[in-house]
Amino acid sequence: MKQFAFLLLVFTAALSGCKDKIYLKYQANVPVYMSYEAFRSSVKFEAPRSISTKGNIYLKNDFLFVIEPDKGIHFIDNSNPSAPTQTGFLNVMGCSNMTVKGNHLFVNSYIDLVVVDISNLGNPTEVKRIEDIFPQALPAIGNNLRVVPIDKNAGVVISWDVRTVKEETEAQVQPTWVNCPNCLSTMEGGGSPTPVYETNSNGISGSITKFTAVGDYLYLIDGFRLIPVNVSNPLAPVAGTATTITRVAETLFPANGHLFMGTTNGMVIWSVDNPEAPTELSVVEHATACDPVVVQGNYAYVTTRTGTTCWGNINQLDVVDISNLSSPHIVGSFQMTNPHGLGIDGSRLFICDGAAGLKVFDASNPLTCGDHLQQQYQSIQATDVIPFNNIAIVIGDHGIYQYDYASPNLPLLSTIPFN
Amino acid sequence: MKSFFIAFSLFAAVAASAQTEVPAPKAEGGVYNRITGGVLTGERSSVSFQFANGYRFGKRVEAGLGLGFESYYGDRYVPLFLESRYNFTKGNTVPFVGVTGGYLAGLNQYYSSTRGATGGVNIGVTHYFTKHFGVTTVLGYRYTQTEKRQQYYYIWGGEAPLIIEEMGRVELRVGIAFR
Repeated sequence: MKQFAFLLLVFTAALSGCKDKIYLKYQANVPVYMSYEAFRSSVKFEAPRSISTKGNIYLKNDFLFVIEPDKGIHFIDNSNPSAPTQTGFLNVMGCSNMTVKGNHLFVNSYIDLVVVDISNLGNPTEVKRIEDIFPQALPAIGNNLRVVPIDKNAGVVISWDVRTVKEETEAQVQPTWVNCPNCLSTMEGGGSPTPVYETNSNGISGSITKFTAVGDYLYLIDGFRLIPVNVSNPLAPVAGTATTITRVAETLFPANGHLFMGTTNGMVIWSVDNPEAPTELSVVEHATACDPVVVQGNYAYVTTRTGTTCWGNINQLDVVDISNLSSPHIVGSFQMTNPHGLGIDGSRLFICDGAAGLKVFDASNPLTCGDHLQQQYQSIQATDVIPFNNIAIVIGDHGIYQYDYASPNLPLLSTIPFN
Repeated sequence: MKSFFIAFSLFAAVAASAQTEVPAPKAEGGVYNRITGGVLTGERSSVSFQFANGYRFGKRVEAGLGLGFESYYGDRYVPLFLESRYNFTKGNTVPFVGVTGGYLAGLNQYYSSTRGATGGVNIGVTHYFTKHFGVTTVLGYRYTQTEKRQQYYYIWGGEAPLIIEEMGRVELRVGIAFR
């Protein structure tokens, strides 16, 4: 019996250090990785393909570039707007924004900024890239499931798998990283950096973009960072120190030597007198909403809207007097339906007004422009527009439409439907 | 607390073995029932009560089933279990080894799908004071896995996470036995 008591003692001692384990089992977004090597050799120019999803648009001379989000850029010969021709597709994984300076196209590719020589539009080639300039860029997440931690050592995240995972630690709602000292714990959803309506000789962007160029510098919005990149030598671009943006930035527009940034709660004017270190000059606050901005002369035109990713309850066009850049102020507001991108050329103001379609206003008098609707195309769900040289290039949910606004009734010249 | 129960268990076992043998008629077989209570101690401690009925096959082997009440991490369960014991001696002081295993039916309303499974091994001593009545002490190890799904305050997409708890517990219990 003493042996039995001894057994009891041993048994108790052996088992008294039990440690519980608690797991969570749930559906989550699990990253799908691609090796850095494979990812960085994926930019290739391919045969034209049909456009399936709307993205940012950019006009350079007779060529129209249309971003297919996360996939690449459609090259469209638009020398005849009545018969645009797709000439090829530049495969750029993870792209969402682009801009052009001279003969070089700058496009984001998830974590990298890629420089593409487009001097020969029939054979664009990658000539340089700045690696890991957007360390937190990720593919868009199409749900609100949790996200398991991302291991930078495993490669580049190129998509997501929704899987049931069992973990001892709780995954986060916002992406988190491991092995990435430069990654913050959060970034805006939807990942990659965003049109610009450039008025320089490089080209013209739509109004919904996060990339733009001023002088020898590109300015890139990446989450809460504004990154200057010196591209005086496009073959040796140099990323400067990022400036922190204290708002949720959505669009950039260069005008009057300044940057006009659309944010969810106001239009911010940035001085780039020191191009390496842009500074916030002034702001026009508005209720929380999404708001692209374009500028012409002494007026900025800002649309604010509500939507899936936009808070608030405001859908309007604001006209802002920017004659004094340090003290901008709203001089007119006009009710809209659900305005997205916009563009202005001379006395014509184009507004992509959601389900209300494309609206064209007479902006001869900016203070009353919203009261002078000239034309409305309700049949299209317009998202963004580039009005240039009497042709309005409009991208919507179902295609790209071109209108001749030299004619009073703005006839439709062509349509490139999405598949 | 843990030390107290360890000491208590050892004391009970040794004390039982040291007692003068009470002449109790030896049961050759038949039904038994036991009512025990105690603690499950490990990273956290909780109470456990069990009521078991079974049959003794001959003099050595017992098998039965039971139900009870247990709690883990504040969640309450009704264990529905099977048990079996092997008795080492035939007298009125009976050391034994046993196994137990079963299903935990959740009682908690805060979670849904609250349930679990438990199983373990144990050793102990039962001392019979009469032919039919005795006191039993049990020391064992119990592995328990529970799962539950929180129903409220989950604002993210998809179904709320299933919370799975895997626990090892030292089981200490005392009770009365009838045969």
